[in-house]
Amino acid sequence: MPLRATWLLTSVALFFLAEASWGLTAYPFELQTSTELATEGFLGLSWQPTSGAADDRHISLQVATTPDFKSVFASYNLVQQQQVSLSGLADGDYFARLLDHAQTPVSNIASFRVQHRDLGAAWLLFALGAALFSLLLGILVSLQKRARQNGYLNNNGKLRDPN
Amino acid sequence: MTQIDTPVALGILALFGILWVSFGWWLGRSNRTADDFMLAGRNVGLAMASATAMATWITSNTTLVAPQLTYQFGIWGMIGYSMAALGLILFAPMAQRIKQLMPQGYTCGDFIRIRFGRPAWYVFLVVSFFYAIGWLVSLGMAGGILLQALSGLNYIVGMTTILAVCVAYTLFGGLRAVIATDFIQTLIILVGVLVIAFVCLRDVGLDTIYQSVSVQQPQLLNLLFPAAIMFLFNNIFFGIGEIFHSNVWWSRAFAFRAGIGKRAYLIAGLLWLPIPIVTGFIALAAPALGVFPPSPDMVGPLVAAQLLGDIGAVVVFIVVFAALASSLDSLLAASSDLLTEDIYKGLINPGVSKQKLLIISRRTVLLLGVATWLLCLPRMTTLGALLNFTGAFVASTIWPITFGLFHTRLNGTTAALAMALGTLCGLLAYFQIGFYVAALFSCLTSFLVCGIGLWRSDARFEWRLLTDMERDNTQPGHLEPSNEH
Repeated sequence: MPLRATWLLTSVALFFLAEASWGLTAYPFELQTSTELATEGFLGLSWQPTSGAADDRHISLQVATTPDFKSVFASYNLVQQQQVSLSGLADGDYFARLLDHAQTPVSNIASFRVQHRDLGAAWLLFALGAALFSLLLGILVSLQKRARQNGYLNNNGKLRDPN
Repeated sequence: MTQIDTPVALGILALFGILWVSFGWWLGRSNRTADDFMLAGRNVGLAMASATAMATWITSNTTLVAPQLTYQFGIWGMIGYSMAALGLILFAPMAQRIKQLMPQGYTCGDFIRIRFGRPAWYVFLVVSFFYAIGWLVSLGMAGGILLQALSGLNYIVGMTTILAVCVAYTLFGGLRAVIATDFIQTLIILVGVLVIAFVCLRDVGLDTIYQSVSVQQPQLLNLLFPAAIMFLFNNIFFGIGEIFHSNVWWSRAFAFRAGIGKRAYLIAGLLWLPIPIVTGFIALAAPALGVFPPSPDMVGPLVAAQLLGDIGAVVVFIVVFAALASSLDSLLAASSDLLTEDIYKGLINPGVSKQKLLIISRRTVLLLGVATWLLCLPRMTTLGALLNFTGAFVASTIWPITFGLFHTRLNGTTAALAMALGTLCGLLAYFQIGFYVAALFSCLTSFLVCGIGLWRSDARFEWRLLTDMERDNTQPGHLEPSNEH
C-alpha cells in the first residue's frame, strides 16, 4: 500500500509539474490553419491568445518552406487582426509562426501542405465546359433562326399562324 | 484599416436613405395598378433599361467577390468573373422572345407553368425561391458586415438600415423606383470604381504589382492554375443560370418597351464586362500595399481604403452601399412579383382584381423585407456559402428555359427532370470536388436529360397559349402531337 501511495503521489506531482512547465513555456498565441491540405493554393490562418493579456496589436506572420525557418517565404505585418487569408501559393510544405515586434516567436508552428489539383483533370473539365458553352451558343442561334423562319413571330413581334 | 467615423457613416446612410425613399415616393405617385407597380407600366426606355440591367448585375458580389476571386484564383478568377456578362448578352435575344411570346406576362413562373405544366413549375419555384432568398439574405448580411468593417457601425444597425431603406423605396415606388434608382446607382458605382482603379495604377503601378504578386502569390499569375481553370466555365454557367431563370431579369424584359429588350441587355452586358476586371484588378495590389485581409472577400474594400485613405473609405462605403441597394431592391421587387403572381394569383385567388393585386404586391415586399431581416439577424456565416451552393440549382434551368422558349418539343416531364437531376448532380459535385464545379455539372446533367427528352418526345407546344396567358392550371400546356412545326 505505501508503495502504491508513493507511486500515486509521484504521478500526481509529475502531472502538475508537467502542466506547470507547459504553462511556463506555452506561447501567448495558438496558431491554427483552416486546412492541412490546400488544393486550391489558398487557406486561412487564425490565432487566439492562450492565456492572459497579450499585446496582439502589432505582430507579424512568418511563413517558411522549412520547419527551422531558415528559408522564409514571406512575412506579413498584421495590425489588430486575429486571422489572415493567404492565397496564390505554389505546391509545397509550408510552416507558419507569429512573431512579436522584437521578432521573438509568440506562437506555435503551424504547418500545411499545398498540393494543387491534377492539371489533366482540370483541362478535362475546362474542355467539357467549353464544349457545353459552344453547344449553348450554337443551339441558341439555330433555335432563334428557326423560330423566325417558321413564322411563329413576325418582325413586329406579333404572333402569326404557321398554317 | 482606415475607418469612417460612425457619425459620418450614419450621415451618409441617412442622406442616401432620404434621397432614395423620397425619389421612390415621387416616382410611385402615378402607380395605379399592379402593372404600374410591378412592371413600371411596361414602358421603360432604352437608357433606363440598359442602366437597370447593368446596375442590378453589379451586386455586392461584383464589388466584394470579384476582388475575392482574383485574390484566390488570380488572372483566371478576374476573367472568369467578368464572363458572367455572357449571361446578360445571351439573355438579350431571349428578352425579345419573352416580350413577343408573353406581352401580358408578369413572371418567369407564368412561363414555366403555362409552357411545362405544374410538376416542372413546382421544381422551378423551389429553385427560384432558394436562389432568391439565398441572395437576399447574403446581400443583407454583406451590408451589415461591410458597414461594420468600414465604420464600426453595429452589424444589426447597418443591416437593418440598408434593408429598411430598400424596402421603403421599393414599397413606395415599385419597379419604377427600382429602375430609376438603379440608374443613379450605376453612375455612382462606375465613377467610384474608376477612381479607385486610377489611383491604384497611379500610386502603386503595374510593375510593383507584378513584382509583389510574382514573389508572394506566384500561382495568381499562373495560367496553368488547376482550380482556376475549372472555375472559368463554372462561373459562366452560374451567371447564365442566374439570369436565365431569375424573375429579376424576366420582370425587366416584361417592363421594357417593345423592341428594346434585346438592345438593352446587349448594351448592359458589354458595359458590365470590364467592371469585374477593374474591381478584381485592385485585389492584385494587396501584397504591394501590405494588405493581408482577414477574409478574402474583404480584400477589395481594404485595398481601396488603403489607397485613398479616409476619402477612400467613404468612396467604398458609398459604392458598396449603392451596389447592395441596387441588387436588394431589384430582388425584393422581383421576388415579390413571383410570390404575388405565382402563389397568390396562381394558387390562392385566381380571380383577384388588379387593384387588390397591387395591395398584395406591396404587402409582399414588406413581408419579404421582414423575412430577410429575421434571417440576417443571426449572422449565420453558412448563409454566405449558400450563395455558391445556389450555382447547382440555377444552372439546371439553363436548358429547360432555352428549349422552352424556342422549341416546341420539350415537354414538362423532361423539364422537371432536367432541373431536379441537374441540381442533384451539381450538389454532388459541390461536395465531392468543390464549389467551382457545381454549376458546370448541373448544367451538363440538365443538357443530357433535355437531349434525351427531345429525342423521345412527340409533343408540340402551342405558342398561342403563352400569348393568351392561358390560366387553366389543369392543362399541362401541351397539345396532342401534330405535324405542325
